[in-house]
Amino acid sequence: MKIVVGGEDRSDVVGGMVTKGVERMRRHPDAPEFVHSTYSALALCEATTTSAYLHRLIDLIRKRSELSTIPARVPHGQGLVTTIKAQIRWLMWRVLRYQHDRMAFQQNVINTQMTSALEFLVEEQSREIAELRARLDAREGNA
Amino acid sequence: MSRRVDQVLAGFAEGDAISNAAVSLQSIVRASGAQSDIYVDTNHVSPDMQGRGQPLHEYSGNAGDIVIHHYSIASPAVDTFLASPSKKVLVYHNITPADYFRGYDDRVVGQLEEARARLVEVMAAVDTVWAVSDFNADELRSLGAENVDVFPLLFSAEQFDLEPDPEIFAKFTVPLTNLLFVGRMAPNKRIEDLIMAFAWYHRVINRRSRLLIVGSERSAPRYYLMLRMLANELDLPNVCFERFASPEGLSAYYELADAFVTASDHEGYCLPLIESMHREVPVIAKSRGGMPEALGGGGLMYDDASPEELAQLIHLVLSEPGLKQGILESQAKRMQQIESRDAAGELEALLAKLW
Repeated sequence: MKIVVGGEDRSDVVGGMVTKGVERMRRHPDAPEFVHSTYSALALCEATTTSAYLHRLIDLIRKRSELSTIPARVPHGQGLVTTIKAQIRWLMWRVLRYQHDRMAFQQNVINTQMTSALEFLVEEQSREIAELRARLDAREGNA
Repeated sequence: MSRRVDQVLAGFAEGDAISNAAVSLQSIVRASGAQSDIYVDTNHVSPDMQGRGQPLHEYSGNAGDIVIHHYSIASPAVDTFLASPSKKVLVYHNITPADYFRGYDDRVVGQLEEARARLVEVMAAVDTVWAVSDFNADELRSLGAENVDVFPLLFSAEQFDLEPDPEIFAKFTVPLTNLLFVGRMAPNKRIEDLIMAFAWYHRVINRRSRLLIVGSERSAPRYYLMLRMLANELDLPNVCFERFASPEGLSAYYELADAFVTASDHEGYCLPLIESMHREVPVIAKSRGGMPEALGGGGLMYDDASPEELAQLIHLVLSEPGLKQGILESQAKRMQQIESRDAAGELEALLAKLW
């Protein structure tokens, strides 16, 4: 990794610090969890046409239609007051989770309806385009 | 009769680098005593710029005048420009490789491919070509262009130093470390790399941080959707998609920024780097395209970096006082060069070749 600071090559010193830091980061318990490439939004980058993008998007929405409320992360820092605050937040979450789950369920249903509507729309448009193309071919054939 | 230097543009929008360049150029030309108007395809004028340019179909040049076209995409403005009897200047802002837009917008892919396909033909039909960076000039020379001058993008501190929008400050009252990216949301900017780097930085290094992404999403809305989905799947509510910002808004974002970071893969020049340096925000940029030239020895540049490496690099810049100081000093030197530039003199010399 080449690093240039103020026009000067600092790959040795700064690059070395980066490498050491990265090793520590990878062992960190809070390291981000990246979604498998099949389910990730990055799968959309692989599409080579707008139509392929749309199909992948619908596929992704289908795979990601469920909202999970279980892994609610309550941030907490150090010190007694911060720990107590975190405990209160955790308790509130336990109390409110049922209502939250109800709303999440309703939102998931709406998302599913939207996805289905989008799919139907694409199907309908594809059918209409195919029909128009067939009619055009038939007319050109007659002419 | 006074001289005329008109410009024909494919589109006109506030915050757009080409539109800003055209307005700055117009101010310099008018200050020199010549007449100057901007003609633009009215289908591609943003609401805030309505009335600031003339409709493209009203353009009619004369043989003694000069007409400038800013070239970056295929548009009806190219044909109007080529049909003009005036002396023609092509300002080359670079054409984003169409492959970046594949999948996101077939129409834009077509326009970019057409622009590249016509580039040689357009160059052959003009009197001179100005490139906004050496990087762009080299690209044109590799295509056989002989008569290429470099006229870097204009940066006007007066136009940029506006009173920051207080609403932006009110929105971000919690004091967090702000990483800033400014630029239109387009696939060549690799904003996904920035988001993944931020995931590492935010989760492992500094929880009290946010990523501000400022720029219009209109040129690639499907790319924008992908970015929002990515930020969501990484559970990063602190990725703030601020979209288009007014000049006052932009001023506020630079005021809030602790560092400017870009992972962009392709830039003809990249004006936000200059804006960041001007506002004394340390810059971390990938060494690609015209960006090393824009930085001119200022800031920190890196080659390819994984998201973890970029996160660590950001951390070092923000936590090592010596490193940050070195970056800021190099940026101050670069800004002295830029601010001492005699843009009016350069333009006059270039136009003198044509009169």
